[in-house]
Amino acid sequence: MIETRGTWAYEIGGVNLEIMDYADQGDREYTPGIFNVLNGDTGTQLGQKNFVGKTGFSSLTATEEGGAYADVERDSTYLTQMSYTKYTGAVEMTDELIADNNYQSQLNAMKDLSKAANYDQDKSGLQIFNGGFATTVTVNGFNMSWYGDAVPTFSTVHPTLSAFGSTQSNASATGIKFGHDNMNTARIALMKQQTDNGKAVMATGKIMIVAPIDLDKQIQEELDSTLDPETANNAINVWRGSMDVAESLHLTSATAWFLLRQGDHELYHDVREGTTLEQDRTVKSGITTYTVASRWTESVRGWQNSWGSKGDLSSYSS
Amino acid sequence: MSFRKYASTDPHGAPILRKSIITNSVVTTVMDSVSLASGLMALGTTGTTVFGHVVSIHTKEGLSPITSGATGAAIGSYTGTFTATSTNSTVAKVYALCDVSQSSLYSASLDATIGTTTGSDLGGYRMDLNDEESLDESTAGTGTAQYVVVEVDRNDATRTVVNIFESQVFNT
Repeated sequence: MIETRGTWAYEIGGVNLEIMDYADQGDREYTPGIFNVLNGDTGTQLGQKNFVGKTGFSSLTATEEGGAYADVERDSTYLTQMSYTKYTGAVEMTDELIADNNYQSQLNAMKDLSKAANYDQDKSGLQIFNGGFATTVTVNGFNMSWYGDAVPTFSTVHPTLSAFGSTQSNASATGIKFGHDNMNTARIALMKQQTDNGKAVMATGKIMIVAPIDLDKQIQEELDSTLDPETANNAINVWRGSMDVAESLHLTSATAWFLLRQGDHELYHDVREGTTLEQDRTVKSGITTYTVASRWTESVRGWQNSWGSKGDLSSYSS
Repeated sequence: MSFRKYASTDPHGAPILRKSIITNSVVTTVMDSVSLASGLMALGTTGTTVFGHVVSIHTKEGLSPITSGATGAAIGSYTGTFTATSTNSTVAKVYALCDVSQSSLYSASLDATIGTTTGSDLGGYRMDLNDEESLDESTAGTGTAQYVVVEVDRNDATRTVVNIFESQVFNT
């Protein structure tokens, strides 16, 4: 979109009312960063990345003296094919607008384009959760690279390629709401997740609650109260200070909540090309074009060490 | 209901700007689809060739209007919509700066749900205006029309991205 002196009614010197103060909402855009929630990665000289993994060996077998040793087996995990998407923005400004406006800092196109790129990377990262109960690639305008097991990231029926494992769930089948007892249900479910060949997982990272800002009051009550906030029995609050919290305005559901095992989960924000800001002036029209471009993807390379509930008390099976 | 500038099919991307004085008494909003009538800017209607889209409105000095143009409007009331006076073409000469490029892409709202008529969400189909700020979804087809569909808006699946097909400026 081109901006001219006609675009900005109040910013041009000598025109219109005298403005005494100027509020730049661009400076207040919500950009808390995404790497507190997602793991970070970068790509180099790659148009696409592929991820796969393996299990350890299956269990050993009790064997009699002189008997033949039993075989063990290890298996592949599903393939994640990750492709990057380029996100861009451009704006044009006329020479006259650049020269005549009284708000050079506020109308600085590069500054606002840079902020837009930061904002959208944060917003893009959270779409893993917004789109996590489906397999739709494009979620709110951002492209996801989902784990290759063909079910949602938060699924009740994650399949396995191993004959020694079985279908597993990392989602609530009844959409349990966030709360004291349900936190226990979720935490136990997270801890009982197994490898694809059915072995217990050694997870060391602290659990993080990822939730919309709508649940902020409840989360504070559950994590900061001395006593169990949901009973009058003077029971201690076992969750006090036990988990980290990431709340986001980019989560679209007011009820869905998630648990992540920090450092162990497989949810990534992967940047192939960092934000590039450029400008070029067309001398024959006196129009300067400002552009921003960045290439990234959100990738889910596995579902273990993550758990989610829609929090809507509805049955969920997918 | 509105058009929004979306992108350009031309990688060089710059708009092609032409100014046109606004017809007397016409109410113009930035991004309106417009045509020329008797040499003056008029709001776009079904069946007329398209001049372009308004990118900004200017006083004859080239600056922004300071009122909405309505009778008695206060200073500071201009917010992107301007009502021309009954003598604008000869006295005030407030003009619209229009992007007349057929390469410019616009995200357009429709008067009915996208995809109701085959082609309103499919590249290569064409549609006519419903009014100066939306397209008539039911006119989607493969025959000649004012706009050609490029794709569904990637940021808003209720809107269609189009460019001008029947141009008042370029041979179509």
